Amino acid sequence: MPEQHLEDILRHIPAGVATLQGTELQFSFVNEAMRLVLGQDAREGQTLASCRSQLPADLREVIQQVYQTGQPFVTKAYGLFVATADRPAQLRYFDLALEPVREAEEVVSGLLLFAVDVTAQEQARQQAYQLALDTRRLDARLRVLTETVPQITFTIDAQGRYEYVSPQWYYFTGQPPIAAVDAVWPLLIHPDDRLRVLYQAENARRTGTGWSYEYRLRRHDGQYRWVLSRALPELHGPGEPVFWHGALTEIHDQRELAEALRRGKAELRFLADSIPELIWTATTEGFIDYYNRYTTDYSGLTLDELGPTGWVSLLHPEEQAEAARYWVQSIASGQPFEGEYRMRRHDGFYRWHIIRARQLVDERGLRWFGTCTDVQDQHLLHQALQTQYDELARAHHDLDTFVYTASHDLRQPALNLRGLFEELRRTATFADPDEGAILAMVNDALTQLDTTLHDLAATVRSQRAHQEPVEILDLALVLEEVLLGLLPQAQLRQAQFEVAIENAPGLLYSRANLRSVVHNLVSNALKFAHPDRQPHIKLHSYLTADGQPVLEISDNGLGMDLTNPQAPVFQLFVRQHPHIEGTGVGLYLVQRIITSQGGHIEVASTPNEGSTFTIYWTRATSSKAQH
Amino acid sequence: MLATLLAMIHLAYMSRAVRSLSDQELQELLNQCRRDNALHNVTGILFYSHGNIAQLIEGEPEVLEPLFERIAQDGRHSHVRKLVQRTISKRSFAEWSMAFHPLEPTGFAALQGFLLPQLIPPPPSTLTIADALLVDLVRLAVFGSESVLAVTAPAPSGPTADSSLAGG
Repeated sequence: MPEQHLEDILRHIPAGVATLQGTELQFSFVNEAMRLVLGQDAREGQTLASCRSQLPADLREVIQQVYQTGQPFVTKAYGLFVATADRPAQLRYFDLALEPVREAEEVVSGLLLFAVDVTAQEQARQQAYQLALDTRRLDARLRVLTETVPQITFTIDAQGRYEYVSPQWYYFTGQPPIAAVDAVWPLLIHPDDRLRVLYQAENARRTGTGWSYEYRLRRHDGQYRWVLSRALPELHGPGEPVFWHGALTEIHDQRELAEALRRGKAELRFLADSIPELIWTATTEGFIDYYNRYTTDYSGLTLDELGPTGWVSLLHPEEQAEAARYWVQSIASGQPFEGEYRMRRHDGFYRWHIIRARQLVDERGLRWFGTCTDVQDQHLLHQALQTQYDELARAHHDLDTFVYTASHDLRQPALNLRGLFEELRRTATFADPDEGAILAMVNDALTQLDTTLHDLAATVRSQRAHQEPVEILDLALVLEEVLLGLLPQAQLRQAQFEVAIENAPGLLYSRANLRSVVHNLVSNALKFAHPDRQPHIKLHSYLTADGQPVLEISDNGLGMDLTNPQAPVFQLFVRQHPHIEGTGVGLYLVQRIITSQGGHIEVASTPNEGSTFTIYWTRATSSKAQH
Repeated sequence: MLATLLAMIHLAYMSRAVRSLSDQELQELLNQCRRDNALHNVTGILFYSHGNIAQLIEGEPEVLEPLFERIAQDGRHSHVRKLVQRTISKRSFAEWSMAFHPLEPTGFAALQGFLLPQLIPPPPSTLTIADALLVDLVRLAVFGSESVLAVTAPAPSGPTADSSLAGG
């Protein structure tokens, strides 16, 4: 029974057991596990040689030798291809033991085969070996990498001690390889940064987080260079950092550059904000994306109120539509924008500005840059100069006219004088022979006077040739020009003007002559205003029944006594109001100009009430004309 | 009538379509927007050409603000850039309409609420000049310079002092 029991055990243990008997090596016992090793045809009674076994030749050889020599043999992790009924052949590993069985302790009569499947162990061992190889390779690679990258790499333990510092640290700091990194490193940090860095590192270690901060580290040459320190914790278990691995990157140049850019940008912004001029930029599409501070100061509007197109609402209402169209055209065509516009200040006052905008194309694309320059003073100066110029031109013209008419008017008395002299010479006799010489001198003087007057008239006439009427003048424009020229005097007396020209808005006349006439009459009306009342001057243009153009200028001034024979109105050098400054040529000139063009002038006046001058510009075509 | 008493705003933005829309898609978009906008009393105009989108919408802030939120998150376009949002005293557009360059112009002309780019009327005179300028610039940005240079300059609309200054 125990023997049977033993056999049962041997058949079922998870190790292969077999016995071989005799020189022919006949199987006397093979358990199931051993059949996996030797093959299914290894059964009791079979010989080793006869079984079509999967055993390799070298193992058969070894078995033979053990039997012959009687020396036991043990091999570890022997690889065998093992096939079973349901599985294809696969490599498995066995520990094999071959033990000679001796009959009566003497002659080897058989063999005991023993096989234990160690495939799992062997595979684990092989994997461990492979892993070790891989680890060594990775380690080597990591070392090469950490030591060749430009960054300094480091590992710190939980107590803040440096476990590893890459050689770059020594190159950078110039410290000897034996330097105590823990002690030296904090001393190399810029004093201004040291506390902050130590605090931040400490804080990160306490909370178990990574860090990223910048500080200045002293280089081997004593210069402090900006570095970026970044590290991440290596966690063993949740929230249990053991190491921090990090890298130190030199960012000095980037930081300097960024700093310079920041500074440059801030300076430019400061510059743009400080200039007392409206400065702005616009996108490709023409939407304004920047206004300098002066723009908001000047306009009193916020950036939001200004918005992408709000600048146009700063312009004078009359100019907005035109400026908006011009801007759209500029954006569409890329042509510069330039114009003179009135822009509303925060207090509602409009000042003249030149608005200029040009496009700039650079690597950031296309943008518009604009400025609005205050030209209010220049504008006023220009206006004042224009007024003065007009005044001078008119004075010059008046002078011309005066010289012409005076020379013309003086010729008749000169001719009369000549006639009288001839008559005198013919009828009178002179006793004194010297008087003959005097007569000749008088004759010469008369001839000279006549020639001079003639030449004078001819000179002025040639200059005035271009003053003949050539175009139909827009009365509204000319009157406005003249009144603008008289603005200072009008403002001084707070004069009111009433202009009604709808009935005859155009006039064929010489521009200079028209201006002279109107200027003289209106300035007279201002000059001889009544001191007790505000001057009210009416200009009324109309056509008479037979189509003769008329301009009526009436005032509420001092008026004139037309009946006074001592002071005929249109006489040269005669003055109606000697107490008021003047030369006495104004009305004389007006009349000369009008009559030279075939017209005439009438005056109606009541002292202390006012005067009305009625100018008939052209020759009358019907009997109604009085002159 | 009540609507005119409530505060109203208008809002303009520009964006880029993620991909070009076909005429069919444009027509669907037109129909959908017309329906939704009529329902919520939203008026305005949408410009579309070769992937460029711009829209000006008018209405009550309670409607427009969430509407713009939705528009800004719509996946069919990107680079949404709000140009202006401000209170207005009255509407400038009687309805909601859309102008685009159709790939196949025939048939679109008859569509209600649709305008060919070259037939867009000048901005209504109820807009401040600043806002009219904005619409003109938007149209220029969407349809290109020929759309502006070809249009005959509209006569100055004679802005009253308050309409031109109100825009501020």
